[in-house]
Amino acid sequence: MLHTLIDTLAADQATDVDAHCDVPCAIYDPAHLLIASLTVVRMIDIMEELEGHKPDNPLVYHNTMARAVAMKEKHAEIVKHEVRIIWGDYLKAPQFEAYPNAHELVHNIMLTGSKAKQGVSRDDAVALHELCNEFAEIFWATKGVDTKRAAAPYKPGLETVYPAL
Amino acid sequence: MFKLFRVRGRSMLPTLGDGDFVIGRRIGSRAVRRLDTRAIVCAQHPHFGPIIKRIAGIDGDTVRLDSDGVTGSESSSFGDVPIDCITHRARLVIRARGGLRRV
Repeated sequence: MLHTLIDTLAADQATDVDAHCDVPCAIYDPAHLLIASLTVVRMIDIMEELEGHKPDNPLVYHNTMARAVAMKEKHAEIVKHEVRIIWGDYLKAPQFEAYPNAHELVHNIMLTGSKAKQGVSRDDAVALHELCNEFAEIFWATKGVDTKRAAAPYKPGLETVYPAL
Repeated sequence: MFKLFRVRGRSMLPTLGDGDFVIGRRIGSRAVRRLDTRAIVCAQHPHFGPIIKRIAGIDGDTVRLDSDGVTGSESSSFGDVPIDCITHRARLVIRARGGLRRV
């Protein structure tokens, strides 16, 4: 009751003090999530290639397919985790005011990340990667760092956002 | 002399929770030196801005801060902060989930 009273009458007088929940090293970088989203696409490519050229030994087939599925799911989850960290810990009110679409973009990444994790649609995985590109552009813009788009120098070679340092 | 603070984050659980209000009393560096090393203080951290932590140790003109909760930052992450960064000592907590507590 007292808390509610203060919250109602005097909250604007309070100074926010952080009790950090993560190690405040202040190091944030969307590189991890972009590598992870590229990996999701690559794993689907490997699954399709494997299905098109089944090895003679079924054990090899099942082993490689299982590993690709596991990695696809793991890296889709890494995408969601890394985006959550930047969104939740790094982005603050001034950035959200400057980039009002950030919340919706993050939500779309969560939804598309889940689709890519659950399914085998390459289109979904590519869409996830493009959303991650947009997220990376916003992130670097908040840092005042210019970005460039270039093909990733490894398979699947999709266009990827890099800081133009 | 007294100031109202609102806690953001959960690194000080179970002592302080997210959204709790804290009433802090202004404290000078001379008084900080006399504090128990387990006192909870508000500080203006040179890099991380206003924070609330527990004093883990005082060595000359520097203070080492620590978290209560297992999810908090290690004190080594903050490093030693200058003693004049400590601005207030927490005296009373108004819990978001109800209740008052002296600290």
